[in-house]
Amino acid sequence: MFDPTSVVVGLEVGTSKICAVVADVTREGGFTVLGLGQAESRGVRKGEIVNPAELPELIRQALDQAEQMADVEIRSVWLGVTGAHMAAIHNRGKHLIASDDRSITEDDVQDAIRVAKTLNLQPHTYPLHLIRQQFLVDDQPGIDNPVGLVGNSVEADVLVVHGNFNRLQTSTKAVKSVPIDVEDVAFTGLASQLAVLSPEQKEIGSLVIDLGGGITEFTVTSGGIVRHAGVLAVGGDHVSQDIAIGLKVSLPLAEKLKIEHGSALVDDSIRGTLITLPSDNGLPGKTINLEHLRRIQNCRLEETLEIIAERLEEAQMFDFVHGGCVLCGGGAHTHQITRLAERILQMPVQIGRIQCVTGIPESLDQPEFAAAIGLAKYGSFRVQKDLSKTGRWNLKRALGELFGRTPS
Amino acid sequence: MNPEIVSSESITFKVVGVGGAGQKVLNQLIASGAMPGAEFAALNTDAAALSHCLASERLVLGAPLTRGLGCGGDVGHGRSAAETDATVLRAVCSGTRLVILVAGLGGGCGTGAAPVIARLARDAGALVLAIVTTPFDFEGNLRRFNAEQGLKELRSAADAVIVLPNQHLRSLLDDRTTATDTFGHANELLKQCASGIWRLLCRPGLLPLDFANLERFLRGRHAESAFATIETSGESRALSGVDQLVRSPFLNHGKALSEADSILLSLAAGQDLTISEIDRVAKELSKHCSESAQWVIGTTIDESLNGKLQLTVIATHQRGNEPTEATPRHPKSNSLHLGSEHSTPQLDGIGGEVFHDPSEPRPESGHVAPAPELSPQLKQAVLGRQGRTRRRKRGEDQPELGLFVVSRSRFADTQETVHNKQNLDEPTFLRRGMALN
Repeated sequence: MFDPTSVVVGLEVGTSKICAVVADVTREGGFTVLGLGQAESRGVRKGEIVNPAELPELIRQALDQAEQMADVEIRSVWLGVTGAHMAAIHNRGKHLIASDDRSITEDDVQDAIRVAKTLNLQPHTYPLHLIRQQFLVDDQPGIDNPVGLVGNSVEADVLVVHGNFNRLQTSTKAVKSVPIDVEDVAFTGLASQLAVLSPEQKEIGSLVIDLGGGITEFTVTSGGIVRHAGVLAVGGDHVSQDIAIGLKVSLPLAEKLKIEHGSALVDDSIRGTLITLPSDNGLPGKTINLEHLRRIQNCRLEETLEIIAERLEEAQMFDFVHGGCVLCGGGAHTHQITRLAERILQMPVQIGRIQCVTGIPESLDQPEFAAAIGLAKYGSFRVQKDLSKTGRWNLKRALGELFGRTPS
Repeated sequence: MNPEIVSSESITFKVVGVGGAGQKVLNQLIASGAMPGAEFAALNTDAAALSHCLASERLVLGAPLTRGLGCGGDVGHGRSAAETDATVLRAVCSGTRLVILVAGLGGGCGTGAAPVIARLARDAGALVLAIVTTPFDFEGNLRRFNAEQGLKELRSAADAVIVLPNQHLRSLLDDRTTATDTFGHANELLKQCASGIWRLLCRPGLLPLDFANLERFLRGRHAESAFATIETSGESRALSGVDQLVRSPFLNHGKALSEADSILLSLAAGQDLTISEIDRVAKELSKHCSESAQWVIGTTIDESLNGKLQLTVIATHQRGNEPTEATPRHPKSNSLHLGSEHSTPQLDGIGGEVFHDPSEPRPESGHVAPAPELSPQLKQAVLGRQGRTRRRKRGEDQPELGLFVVSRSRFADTQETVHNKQNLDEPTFLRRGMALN
């Protein structure tokens, strides 16, 4: 039915859920979601795997579900990685032009980028993504493509998204033990941004905040280029934990209360409202104050968004954002979260919807699937790039085609 | 109520230079005229050196002991020289409210005599602020050891000690600076520090820092302070000023700020000082300090500083765990009175008189009063109460649980998320002190 080699799979091993998305890529650049599978996650904290023992089983479960829905067999995935160790820095690499006619070639550009890549990086830090911002030829800024220009030197401004090498390896290793192949890893923050932004939003400048279960990622995209990215190791888990401590309830109950009664803002109208919890399993029933619940939640969310705003301010990124902010991740479901974010970020805020994707049913157009869909999209871009470079499927894929089983 | 406060509108200052270094600083201070209205006194064991001093009050210490020939680097000599002249020294220090003691530690006179003088001055009722240098590394181990010992003594004797480690100067000066210049710089710094404090108190201010502020800040703290002053100008003088301060070797490259539990910041500038600059300096600086640090901010306007901004920071770090030899003392005349007062509170409510004035927190007295005369009934009551407390204490072996026990269970295996020195894994509402009621 489908050419199996044109199938890409995005896999996100998140703090609260594992999500796999199967998508079909056409040579013309079309992107159709075929299937989606998810499983509850365990042993992941703040976006990083801390206990890989149970994970392979759960990942298998999510992949199975996606396979069934898409009716294909999954051989490899594009894996999302995140964690407090990840960060983005702006580097500038310089390369002097050695040739006689001083015209800049692709090799010179690559050299400049290579210099920029490893600059200012700590040992054990692995540069995961290099995103070209602009080039400078003889100190003249604002050049998109310097190839063919004449100059003494070319400098590349590059955004380097980097992470701790060993901690990145932990993720890959856990997935490989499923066993399943990992094509490559990508930063989940970048993936979410790919899924929820329309080309117009990418052009005018948008901020994407992925409110995950254990970690919050943010990216700024402008002029079609990712300008900045960052993580804050605070997420929905923290909200639940705060509620559990503040209201003296168990963590699962706090989680349930958060989803059923939570809100990002505290309205005056709820003052004094009590929620009665039924007694169960021999535990006595309990009455909790709704205002307390929401104030605890409001405190945490407000702080999280404030820290992000602070970080963006430090990086002087607000100048790039004209298109407003898009929220995704499970936290985007929080009642009134857009109003809180609008107040703190001082810009229009919307809940992310999956963009430029066909074949996705309405029920799956949810902000929490943004990262996994974005990962599949990232994979599709890479596949297309390989295609355009070589004009044919690469060797690994060709071999896979020869020896792999064809889907039913 | 207190006649002393009413009568002394202007604070009487005395800058006391001890030893060779202190005396040189005094000369510089007097020559520059930076501190009009202050009194100067020079104390040295070396009579010959003292004769070059410009100070109005000059005193050869321990003349019968050293015959005015100096103490040759012997700290013991310096100490006994000061002790033999105790009565004279007490007279020198009496009648002033703030004694700024300037000395170079490491030598004989400065190291030995300064703590004695500090103690005498405090007994005479003055607030004692010592500004001292510690020797360069090349001056050898002995001098460094002496300086450390001296510093320890001084810390327990004076109300506050500001230490300017000379070795830190090395990183400020380049290799070509001559030895004379280097020592000159060290003295200059001492001078700046003394005049900075004077400026703080005496210049007309927008947010004036008065003597009471300084006293509250320093009194009875036995603290070690770091001092730094810088002057900047230009468009972004507020930011660059803070930046320079934080990088200053005298604040240990910002470490002194982050460890300090109280910080005194003084801004001095011309009429062009804007409120946003004050705000920025305070905000930027507070980023480098611990959350719980106490702040005192003063702002003074000085026409001569037009276009410039002078920042002076005294960061005080309480040395709580170090044994202090002396407790904060009060004037002799007060101490007896205080003593009886402090022995009575345990009789509160059972007939004991209470002299304690709650509006005025007083430091503890070192004086231990004799046991009060009690009637047999009172005695019974007191003893009975002591017995009760002892019994209760025994029962308190089991510690109480806090109101909130923050378990890390959910985040047990993870690295703590820390932002601006706050552990974000702890609930926000607890950190923000939100009450749930």
